Amino acid sequence: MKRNYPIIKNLIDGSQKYRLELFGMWIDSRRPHIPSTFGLVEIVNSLFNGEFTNFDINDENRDRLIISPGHEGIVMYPFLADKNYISKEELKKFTHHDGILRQYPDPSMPLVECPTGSLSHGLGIGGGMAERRKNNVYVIISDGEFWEGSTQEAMSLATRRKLRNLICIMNNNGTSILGETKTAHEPLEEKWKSYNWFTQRVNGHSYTELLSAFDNIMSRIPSDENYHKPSVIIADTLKGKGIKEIEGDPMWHSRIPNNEQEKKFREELNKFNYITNKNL
Amino acid sequence: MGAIALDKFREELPEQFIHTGISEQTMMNWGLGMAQTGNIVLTYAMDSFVMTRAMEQAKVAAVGFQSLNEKGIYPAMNIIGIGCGFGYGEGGPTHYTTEMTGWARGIAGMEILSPSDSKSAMEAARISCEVPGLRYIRLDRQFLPDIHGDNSFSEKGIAEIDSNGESVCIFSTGDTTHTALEARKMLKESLKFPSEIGIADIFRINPFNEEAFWEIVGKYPRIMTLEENFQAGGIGEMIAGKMSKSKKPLEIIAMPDKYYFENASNIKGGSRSYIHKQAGIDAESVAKKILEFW
Repeated sequence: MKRNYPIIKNLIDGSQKYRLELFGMWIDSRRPHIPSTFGLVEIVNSLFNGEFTNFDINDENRDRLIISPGHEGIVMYPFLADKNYISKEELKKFTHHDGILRQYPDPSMPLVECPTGSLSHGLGIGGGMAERRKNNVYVIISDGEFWEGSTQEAMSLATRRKLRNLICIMNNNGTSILGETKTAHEPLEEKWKSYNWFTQRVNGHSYTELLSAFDNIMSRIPSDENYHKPSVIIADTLKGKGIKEIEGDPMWHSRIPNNEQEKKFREELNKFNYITNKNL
Repeated sequence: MGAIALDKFREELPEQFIHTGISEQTMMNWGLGMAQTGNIVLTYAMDSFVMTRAMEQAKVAAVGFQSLNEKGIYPAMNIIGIGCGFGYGEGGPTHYTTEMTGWARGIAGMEILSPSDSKSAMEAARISCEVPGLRYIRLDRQFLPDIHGDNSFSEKGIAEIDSNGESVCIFSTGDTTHTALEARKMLKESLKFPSEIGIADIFRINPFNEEAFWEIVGKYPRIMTLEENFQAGGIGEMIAGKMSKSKKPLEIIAMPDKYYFENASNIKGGSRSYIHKQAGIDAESVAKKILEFW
């Protein structure tokens, strides 16, 4: 699908804008898990602003989005504000008594479809939602969730049910709270393919690669061998993307920056340039 | 999942039947996803696995249901376990579910129905299709003869079985209500017991109808409970909790805290009834305990 310049520019600007908003939430709330969300910005931005999804809350047949690793669900909040499903004020009240945004998303919040927080429920719940077959169901899972048996159960059942409208994005950041897990699940593509999923692997920070992967899924025609398969995009990402000191460091899973770090990190994000960023 | 009981459903409504494979956890997650997109969901498997294997998924479903209810959305999902208690008599402890009353009661918002005859099982089926909510239905594997005269058990959640009792009232559920009835009959026939015993069958364990409960308790000086479940979290402890402010004596008859490995398919009544004897929850032991308690 050809996208015009304003859409592309909007996506590129979003990489910095949403990171700054997430960073603001981190500093205001002094709550953990924000660095994890930095790795997801391009993926979630593509979903919300890539113009191939329908997240109109009033439409019962809207697409569904589940961010299965609940601690990364925070990444949705600035997008909810952007789409006017919540007020911008709510971002400042993240985890506060008078705010609606919690550490882990649950269906009390707009567009949040199911409780997360406990790992590896999302793909199964998403599979159940996809049974209606009237929309697409996007489920973001983490590489960490690949350890869990329930993820593998859901992978298996989704194929059996021919859920071509189930689209999983695996946030493969190779890091879990206990350390580096880069090689834990390889060969990933072979594994997903052996479950008979339509499998693609991309750089999870590249809009070009992400959008073309989504387009490949959307443009399947019945004669394609992949037409009836559920889809997965294995997105290789960097946890903490955008702040050098944090990138890929498991210690920042739940650490909060001190004043000096805050200043330094904010400066770095203010200079964040999607176009020239080498790792993107 | 494969079961003769589902053959008719599978034949007549193939579009509404999903074989999820042997994956209780995913069946539960899948069910939540389907329920919140507008389907009435029935998940079905052996009681020993349907929820035990997926306790956390059941909890996540309960969390989801509560937040959806608060938004004004009322989905329907029923978790149906067949062969509760010692239903799979020769199966051994992996197939017994003498924990499940307590485990299921531990999940906030989990409605628990425990039919004791075909009439109440039919009613549970009707409720599962017509009334929204997250519900655990425990079905006996054996055919249990009808004991309920009318359908008052459904609305009230508890119903006395043909009783003009005035001495002890036994609160029971499912299969053990039949044991209580047999014990009552034994005492009556042996003329050992001076007055009529009351028996109240609990159809809806959760939410428990306290009003109906106290109405029954008010008629009796002594209360007993009987169940094919460990005491931990069972109906005995539930009722003890309710009665903590009452001065009426209460006796709990529940399963001893151990697993039973008994081969008895060649003994009359099979392993289930043999274990009941060993555990002291057969009709004879119950009759004895009534005499001692009175």
